[in-house]
Amino acid sequence: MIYVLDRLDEMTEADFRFGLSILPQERQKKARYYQSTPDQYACVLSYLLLCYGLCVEYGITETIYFRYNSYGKPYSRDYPHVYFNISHCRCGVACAISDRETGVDIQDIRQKPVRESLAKRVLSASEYSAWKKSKSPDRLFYRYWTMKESYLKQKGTGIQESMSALDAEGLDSLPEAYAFYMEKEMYCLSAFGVKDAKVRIVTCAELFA
Amino acid sequence: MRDKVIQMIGEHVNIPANTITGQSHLISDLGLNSYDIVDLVCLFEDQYEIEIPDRTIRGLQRVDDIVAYLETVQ
Repeated sequence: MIYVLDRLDEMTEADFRFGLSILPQERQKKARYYQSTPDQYACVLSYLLLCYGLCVEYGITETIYFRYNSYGKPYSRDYPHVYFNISHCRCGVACAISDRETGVDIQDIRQKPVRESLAKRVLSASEYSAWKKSKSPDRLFYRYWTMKESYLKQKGTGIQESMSALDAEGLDSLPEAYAFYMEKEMYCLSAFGVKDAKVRIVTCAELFA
Repeated sequence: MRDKVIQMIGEHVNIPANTITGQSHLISDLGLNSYDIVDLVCLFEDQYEIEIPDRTIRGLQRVDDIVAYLETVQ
């Protein structure tokens, strides 16, 4: 299941303070380090969204302590057989939970127009050609980006690999890729490694109930 | 060089430049995600007419890492 909270504006200052207070120390420290309020909120909400999903799917209610692989991908110290991945952007947070390695990426699609140099760095030759011809180049770019990013997060390497060497449309035909893509008015989201993926939209009220 | 880099980062990700220092961590202090970082790298490439290899990006963790890299390749 993929859990999405896309109404960050519903989180109140009181919610934030309460959410922060129930986070493990390491996560509180991470949230406090962020210099902007939206980043602090997203940090708290993404952790709570993970806890929500783990409670729904596995009945886990204990505090989740993170450990990280050599590329910085988090996993649960106490439940290493439970796979998850978290992503956030300025309009939402997403959490994929699966029985296998998974990666998720959510991107705000209202950002500045994609620059040529960014497209050249990220897109394969065929994708670049399609991007140049597209009537909605930014949306197409973010589709490619989120697919590649979520695939690399599933692998656990993140953006260490050359993104232009990957072909986004070819990734979902890989064995047991379980690719998923969704586009809303303000954001798009992609995930890999979630079998029969479904999206559950979660509200702040549900998280803090 | 550092002031220019800080100004560019601040404008690019809408963070007041006076809250950014050379020691600011791009992810854990400034809240940048992978997309922001790759986009920022391309911005520096355009500005300084250089090419920054993919393998270099992982080492650019703090503002001063970017400053040091740009001073090296300039």
